Parts: sequence; structure tokens; C-alpha cells
Amino acid sequence: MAAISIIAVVLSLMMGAQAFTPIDLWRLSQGEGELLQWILFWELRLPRTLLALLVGASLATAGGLMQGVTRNPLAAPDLTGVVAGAACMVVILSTLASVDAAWYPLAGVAGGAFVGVLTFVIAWKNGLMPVRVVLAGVAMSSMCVAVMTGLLVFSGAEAGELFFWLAGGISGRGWAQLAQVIIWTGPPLLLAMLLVRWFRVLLLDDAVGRSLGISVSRWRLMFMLLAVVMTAGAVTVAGPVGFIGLVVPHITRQLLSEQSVAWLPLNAVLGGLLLLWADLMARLPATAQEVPLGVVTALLGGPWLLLLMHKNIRRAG
Amino acid sequence: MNKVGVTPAVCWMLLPLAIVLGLLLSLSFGASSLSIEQVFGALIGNGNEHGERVVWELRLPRAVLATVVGLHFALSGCMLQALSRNPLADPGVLGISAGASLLAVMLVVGASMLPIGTSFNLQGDQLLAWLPWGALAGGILAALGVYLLSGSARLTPLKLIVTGVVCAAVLNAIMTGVLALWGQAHTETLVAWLAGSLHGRDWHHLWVILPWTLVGLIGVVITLRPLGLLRLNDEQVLSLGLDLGRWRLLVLLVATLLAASAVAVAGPIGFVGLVVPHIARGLVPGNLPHQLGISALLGALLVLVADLAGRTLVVPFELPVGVLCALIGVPAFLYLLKQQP
Repeated sequence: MAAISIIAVVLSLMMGAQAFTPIDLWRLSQGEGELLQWILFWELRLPRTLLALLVGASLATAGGLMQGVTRNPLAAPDLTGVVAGAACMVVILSTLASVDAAWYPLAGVAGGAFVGVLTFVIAWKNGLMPVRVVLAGVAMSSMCVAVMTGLLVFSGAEAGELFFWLAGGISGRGWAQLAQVIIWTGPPLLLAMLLVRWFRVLLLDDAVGRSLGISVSRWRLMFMLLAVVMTAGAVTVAGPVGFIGLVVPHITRQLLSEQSVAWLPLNAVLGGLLLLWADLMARLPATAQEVPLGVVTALLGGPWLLLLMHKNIRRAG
Repeated sequence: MNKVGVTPAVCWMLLPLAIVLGLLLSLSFGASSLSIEQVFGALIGNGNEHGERVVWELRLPRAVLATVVGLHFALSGCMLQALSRNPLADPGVLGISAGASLLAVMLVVGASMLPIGTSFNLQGDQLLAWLPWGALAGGILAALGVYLLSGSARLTPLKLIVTGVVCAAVLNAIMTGVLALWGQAHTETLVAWLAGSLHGRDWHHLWVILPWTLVGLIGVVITLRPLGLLRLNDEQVLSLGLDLGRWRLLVLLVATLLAASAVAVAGPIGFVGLVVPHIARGLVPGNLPHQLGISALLGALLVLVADLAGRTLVVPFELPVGVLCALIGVPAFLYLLKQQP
């Protein structure tokens, strides 16, 4: 695991329109090397690599939190409409109000939380059935997509740019965006890791939690809120990148028990790695335009998820 | 559903009336409004030149196309719901629309890459005539893929829907990738198409889709009896001596054909196929032939009204009909989800 992470990070720093050799990297880390390489490394590669790790970690942890807290294997930020809600709010603000970009994360959190809550309220019927949550979430997402499409039609010239953002990607993002993501996803990530004790209780039956004297619904709400903030923080910078939050917890569940203290951190690590690899693959083709990151994650995550479901069917049948 | 059924006869009388009324309103409202007398005058051929051109060349083909497209999506959804015994099936949810759009987009992109001057140009009628075939192939591939991936014979409604949603997401992502790599100059047009739009559609589009409507309707009539039986559980159907697999495939094919041909001319308009059959079931519970017919009429009415609203609500802009259908359809869908036990 550690080896794969290191290889991925090094590769991510090396590859791109201007490729570095490991020797270049070593020289750069020693403070030597050409100015152009130095700028490329510091201003583009490094922030982008860190951003990929952080965005992936946030999305995967958010997915793990949501799936665990709702005990619903299909509750992920994208399937419950949180991602679409956050993206929709950002598009609304950027096309109609043209506010400062610093407000986007806040708008994303508001939109994501609003749509997420609405999804769960609508899906609620004597408890939350996974299918109902997914269906309500997909419906809410379509609503958001419809609103975004409507606005894109009006926005005209900006449409191409917004369209690329909506496809998801972290190309050309620098330290400013990284700082933004850290502000919004760092604290909730840390908080989730620190509160893992209560998260593990929520994975059990509600009665267990109550007998331990824990306010189950309050903690559930708390963790959902953390997940929403993380997701929104990631989406405002990287666009609606799908599948990470859905797939990663399924993979980690095969590796480690959900009950383990290390499960949430494992989600974060694996999510970060997966997104880093996805971003590497997005950069790989020698085309003028990079492949949008959301496309790569969908291509990686979709088949994996289908395979997983197919296996489960086999086992059940 | 706990609604009181309306007698089918009432629906059969009221819906066509509503559609005719909707058509008349579509003809008279728009960028330049015409009075009802002007519309009638233009229709029977003694109006002024301006009115005749607006009615015959712009609004009539578009309005008729809206009804045809609505009919396609609604029938397709109704058949898919009966086939999968799943009230939440729909060409959009099952990935059929996404597959159809993907191949249609690839066809357009591929055609644009051919050198200029070849007989196969982007705006040409040839491409338009080919689009339904591409969309059909994509739709069938997607439908079969979803069907097989969700465990074919042992499929449960949940598995089918979730597989469909995942496949649709993957296909949409690939489509976004194709569009992004293609370059940004053309994305606006295609984004408008992908939103589901009837903007600028004329008689050509109508002639392209009508043969498919005919084939689809014949298919519906052929599969009507087996479809009614497919709603029973498998043992009952098998004991009646029906070849389950073959009929299922045929129904799937007809439903895909209807949806894909509509996607080819109007883009993937969502939620019509999902919501309309529910309303039809609420109106005439239990009677499949009536449900299919009423679904077709309701779908036509819904798209017609949505397109009219899209054209007139925010003048001088135009909202894509797919956006309005989603804005109408999603709340209805969520309400139905809430009503379900």
C-alpha cells in the first residue's frame, strides 16, 4: 500500500506535458535545477498532486460516513444528490449573481446540504430503504442537472468553461484552490477521524447506541453534516467527480472490517490514491484537451461497481 | 395507488380534446403571437403570408413533433415498467437514453471529422436520417448490457434499476469526455440537444421519426397480449405456455426502438416515460391496454405543454423541453415515491 502510494505520488509529480526524470525530481527537492522546471514543479505539479489526494480523500471519506451512518451501501455523495446540489448552487451563483469565487464553497455546502436533506426527507418512509434513497437522490440530481442545463443555455459564452468544470477535473489548479480545499475539507476530515468512536457505535443497531447513552440521531446528523461539508469543499474546486464516494468504501470493506478504527482513514487514503491515479490517466493522452477527471473516475468506478454487484448476485443466487 | 379510477371512456374523450387545445395554443403563442382566427385562417389556407409561414413552417411541425416524441417516451416507459414489473423503470433510468445519446453524439462527432466537401455533412439530412439508426444501436446495446449485467433471468427490480443508473452514469461520463475532447466550439449546440430540445425542428425531423412511430405502434399491438401476461409472476407465465425469454426480448426491443428514435430527433428527454405511466395507472388501474393508450396521449400532452411553456415563459430565451419535463416530472416522481407503500 505504502509502495503504491509513493509510486503514484512520484509519477504524478513526474508526468505531464513536460515530463521530469526522477533525477530532476531529486535535484528539485535539493533546491537545484532550472527555473522553468522549478516553476512547473512548484506551481503546477505539487499543488495538483496534493489537490488530487485531498479531493479523493474527502469524497471517499464522505462516502464511507454516509454509507455507514445510514447503513445503506448505496448512500454516496453522488447518489444522494449532494454532489449535484453543491454543483447546482455554484452554477446558480456564478451565472446569476457573479459573486466572488471565495463564496463558492459556502454555496456548495448550502446547496449540497439542502438537496441531501431533501432526498432523505422524501425517501423517509418508516425508515430509510436503500432503493428509495437512491431513487429520490437520482431524481433530485436530475432536477439539479435540469436547472444547471437551463442556466447553461442562458450563460452562452461561459457555457464551454462551465461544461468542462461540470465534467470534473483538477487541471490548472494551484495553491489558491488547494488552500480553499484544505479550509473546507481539512477540519471535517480531522473531526471525523477524531470522532470515529461514535461513528462505530452508529454502525451498530440503534438500540445499542441508545443503551450506551448516546444520542443516535444527533450523532447521525453530525456525521452527515461533516460528509456534506467535505463533499461540497471538494466539488467546488474539482467539479462533480463521481463514483469515488460510492466505490471506495465498498473496496475498503473487503480489506478491513467497517468496525475497525482504521476503516475511515483507509477510505481517505484509498480515495486519495484512486483519484491520483485517475488524474494521472486523465493527463496521459497526448491531446490538447485533457480528459475530464469525472470521465476517468466513472470509467474506473462504474465497471468495478457493476462487478461488485454481479458478485453479490452470484453469492445470493 | 389509492386513487379512485376514472372510467377509461372519460379519459379517452378528454385527452384528445386537451391535445387539440394544446396544439392550437402552441400554434398561436410564441415570439409573435397570433390570434385563434389567424391560426385557423392559416391552417385552412386563407391567412396572410406571415401567419401561414409561422404556422406551417415553424410551429406546426414542432408541435406535432412534440406530441410524437411524448408518445414515444411515454409508451416506452409504460412497456418497460410492465416488462420489469417495476414502477420505476424508464428509458432514462435504465440507461437506454444514455446509450442512444452516446452513439448519436459519436455519430455527429465522427461526421464532423470527415473532410468538408464529402457528401456526408453535419447539417445534412443524411446525418439526420442516420441518427435514429445510431441511437437505436446504442439504445439496444445499453438495454441488453443492463439486462445481462443485472443477472438476466434472475434479475430483481432493485438490481435492474441500480445497474441501469450506474450504466447511465458511465455512458453519460463517456459522452461528456467525447464532447470535451471534441473541442468547445460545438459544445453549446450539443449541450442544448442533450438537454432535450425541440428548437428548430421542422418537417424533416417529423418525417425521420414517423416511420419509427409506425413500427413502434405495430410492435405495441403485437406485444400487447404477452405484455399483459408478463406482469404475472414467472411460474404463472410459463404454465400458460408462453416463451418468456423471447417475448421479454421483443418487448424490450420495441420499447428501446420507441425511446431511441425519439432521442435521435429531440435528445434524451427524461421523466416523461417515468411519470406518465404512473398517472395512467392511477386513472385506469389494472387495465393494461387502456393504460398504454392513455399513457401515449398523456405523454404527448405533457411534452406539448412543456415545449409551449419553454418557448413562452422566458421570452426571448427558450428553455429546453427536457429541462421543463424534469422540472415537472421530478416533483411528480417524488410524490409518487412518497405515495408508494
